[in-house]
Amino acid sequence: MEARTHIERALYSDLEAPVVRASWKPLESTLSPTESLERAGSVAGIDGGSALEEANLGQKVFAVSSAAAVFKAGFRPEELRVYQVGVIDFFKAEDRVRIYREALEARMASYVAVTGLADLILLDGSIEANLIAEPVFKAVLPGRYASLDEEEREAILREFEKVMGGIPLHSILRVVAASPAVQKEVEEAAYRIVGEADEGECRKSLLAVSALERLEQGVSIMALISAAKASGVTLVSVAKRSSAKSHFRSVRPDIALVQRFTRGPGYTKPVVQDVHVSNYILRAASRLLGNELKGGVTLTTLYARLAEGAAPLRIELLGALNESEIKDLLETLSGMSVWGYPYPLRRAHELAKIGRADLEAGLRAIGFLPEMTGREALGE
Amino acid sequence: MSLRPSDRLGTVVEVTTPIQVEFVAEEGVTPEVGDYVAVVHEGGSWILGMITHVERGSRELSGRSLLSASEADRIIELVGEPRQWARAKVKLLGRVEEGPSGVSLVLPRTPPPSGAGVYRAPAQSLRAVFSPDCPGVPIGSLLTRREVRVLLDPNEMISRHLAVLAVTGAGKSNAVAVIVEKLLELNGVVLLFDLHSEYSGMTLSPGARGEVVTLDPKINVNSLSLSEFSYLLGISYEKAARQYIYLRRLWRAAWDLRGKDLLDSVVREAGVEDPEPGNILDGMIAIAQIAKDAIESGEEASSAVPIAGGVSLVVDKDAKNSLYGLISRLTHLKESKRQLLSATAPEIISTLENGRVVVVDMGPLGEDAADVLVGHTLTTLLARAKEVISARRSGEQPPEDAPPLPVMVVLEEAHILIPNDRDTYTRYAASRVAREGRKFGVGLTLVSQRPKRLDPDVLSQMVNKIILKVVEPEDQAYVRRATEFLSEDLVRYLPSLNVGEAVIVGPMVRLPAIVKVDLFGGGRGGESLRATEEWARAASSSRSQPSRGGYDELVG
Repeated sequence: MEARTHIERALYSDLEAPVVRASWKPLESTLSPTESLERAGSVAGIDGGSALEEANLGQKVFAVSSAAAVFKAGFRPEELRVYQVGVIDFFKAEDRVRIYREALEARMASYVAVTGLADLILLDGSIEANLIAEPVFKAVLPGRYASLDEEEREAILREFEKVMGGIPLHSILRVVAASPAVQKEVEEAAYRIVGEADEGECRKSLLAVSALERLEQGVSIMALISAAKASGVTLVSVAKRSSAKSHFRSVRPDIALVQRFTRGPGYTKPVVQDVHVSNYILRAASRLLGNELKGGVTLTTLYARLAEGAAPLRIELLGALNESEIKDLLETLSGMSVWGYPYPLRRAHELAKIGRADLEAGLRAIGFLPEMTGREALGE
Repeated sequence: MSLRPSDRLGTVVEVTTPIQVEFVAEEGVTPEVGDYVAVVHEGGSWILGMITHVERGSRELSGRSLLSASEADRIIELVGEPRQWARAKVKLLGRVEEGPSGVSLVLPRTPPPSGAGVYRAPAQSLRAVFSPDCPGVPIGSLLTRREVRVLLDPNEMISRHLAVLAVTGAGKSNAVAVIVEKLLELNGVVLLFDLHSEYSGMTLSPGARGEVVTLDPKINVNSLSLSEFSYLLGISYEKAARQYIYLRRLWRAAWDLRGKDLLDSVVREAGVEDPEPGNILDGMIAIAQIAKDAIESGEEASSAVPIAGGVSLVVDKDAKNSLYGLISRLTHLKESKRQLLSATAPEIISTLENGRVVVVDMGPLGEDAADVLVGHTLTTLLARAKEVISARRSGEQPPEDAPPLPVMVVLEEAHILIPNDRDTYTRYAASRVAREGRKFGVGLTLVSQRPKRLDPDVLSQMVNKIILKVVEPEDQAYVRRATEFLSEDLVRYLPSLNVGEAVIVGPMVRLPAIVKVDLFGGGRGGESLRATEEWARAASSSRSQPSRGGYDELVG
């Protein structure tokens, strides 16, 4: 019974209601979709997709995609898509493929910003989460194997620069995926960082590979932020789910509190914060972009419901925006939303979707025949 | 026959089988259900197929979360006109091969490859299949290719029988009229049982060859067999052996008297009401009456009651009750079927001629009388046809009054007389014709709006089918079960057929076809009354008469 009481309190208590309601402001938007597009200029929704398929004993084939749907009033949407396909070890495959996908999404958004395709870029997910991510293997079996030390991180940076030498920024993972030779080079770079792999060091080489991957993703998002600032593009990320608790500092996620204690279209008081970015990512990005990047990234964060009856969204805006700018932006987003979700993001999601069947069909189309997976004995 | 790039509809996608493929359509192309396509196979050949199912959607308006029109409208405002996609299923019918005996279709042994092109089938190939260069019954045009006429093979139509099935008002009677007229042009013979007087004033299209003869519904009572009498009277040997035995004796005695020209005098002597000269039924009543009177007056000294001219009726000591019962039943038959039974009516079969349709207008009859009429005629026709064929086989001359063969018998509202839940005379007779008619040149065409009420055995022998709009799910399922050529996909489309559109299956067409049936150019005479016109006419005639009007008129 005690456990039940505890759960009920966690889920249903009204403790935070006054704080959340005090923070909430109604949003009145009467903009039609066309008016909202006219106000925004051109709007790009960016999203990614991924799929994994067992290919071999101990290996998987992955495909990641990123799509941009660019909307402008009076024109048919422009749709861009990019894919990567490659092979990855089983261990932590899902998490690593997610890192690849996020990097690809960031690079697609960079492309849209640099080429001037959009004035407003909407990213699916969270810029903050992208910035503060750690290498996938950081937490592998803590305490049993050593994690990478500072010297090794420096070595990773040097090796990253070597591998990236002569290759455009938006491409290491693509090249890794496409070319066994470069993939080998990356793995060798990992061994150079951690020395000759023995039983214990083998895990370290995975950490090094993971750090390289994270570096690629981190540098990609920093490149996007730089491009957005340079070209004056408004960069917004929209998350449907979030476990962040920094807004209301409750044990319950902020988004759950907004869902529970607010009604109708509106938004919470924005919070402006500087998000810390790891030094090794800043340094790599600085060198590759030719700019000295320092400190953190300023984000304005809030929760908003864009239509009656819709679920709240976590919205992050690059930079520190004032009240009036925020209101304008939310009205614009509301006007181009379908059931409270910005349609450009929905369209990008549909474009980027990769089903497992698509991956299988794609692999068959290029003549790839899956080998024994070991599960045939179970009739699968 | 080469395929034109401009006729390309789409590309085959996985998974294919030798009998079915699916394809995705080219941008801007929407395949039509029922259309014929050419699916490219290995070696540059192609296979003819029919589109049995089409799905269409848009890239922008997909997704189950789209729950209201306003959401869809917002999306359309953002993206412009949604981009359509279409995907279709194709039932493969075979490779069209022309040989010395005409066009044939050969199913491939291997499935077409994925990625194969799908084209609109060339009209020339479709004509070779649907309009062969031989005598046929033109029923209409392919629904999706009006330039291709569809000819039904009359030989297959008659030898494998035909069912015309649809809801009321879907065009059954029109289809039947078109077929009948075209059969007459081929000098065919048609007997049409018209249960609801739909064809009572039928006229052929201007310039059409042939003749329409409408008959009143009569049976020559003297042509009824003993078993037909027993059926009409509801007496069977199994259930009422004594009455059946007396019925047989009465029937034989009546015929003996008629042979000796004594029948009418005996009928007069017995005082039978409303006698008709030479009527066997009257004779049976009279003989039974005389025998009963003799038994009652104690005159019978022996076991045979003398009637006249040496003709007697054998009775036993308990005969009185049986005779009472028989007199009662025979008299009831005479009175209740007065319209139907006559000793002077011509035999329906004797009116059949080449180039003629005989319409038996059964509108005035009740269902049981209609049952007797149709059952009797079918039974007699089959028996006579057997005699003719037997005589032909043995090199003998057929009887002079032999019916012209082959003959097509059309039965409207067939579910009434050939029901699935009770025995009728017609059901018995039709099942025999369905089984044996093929060998003896008697073809059956059943027309019904309630297929599920039809006897399944009889319907399953109607191998050819013209199916117009069928709405009721049980009827659809029933049609599907009874039709080997009809795919599940096509059945789903039966409710959406428009008036005059029909799925035609069976050996009378080389391939299943969805057809726009021609409009009958003549008149059927029995079309539905148009209520508004009738009421308007009544109103104008009542206005011309003086009326007190108002309440006075109601209370007189």
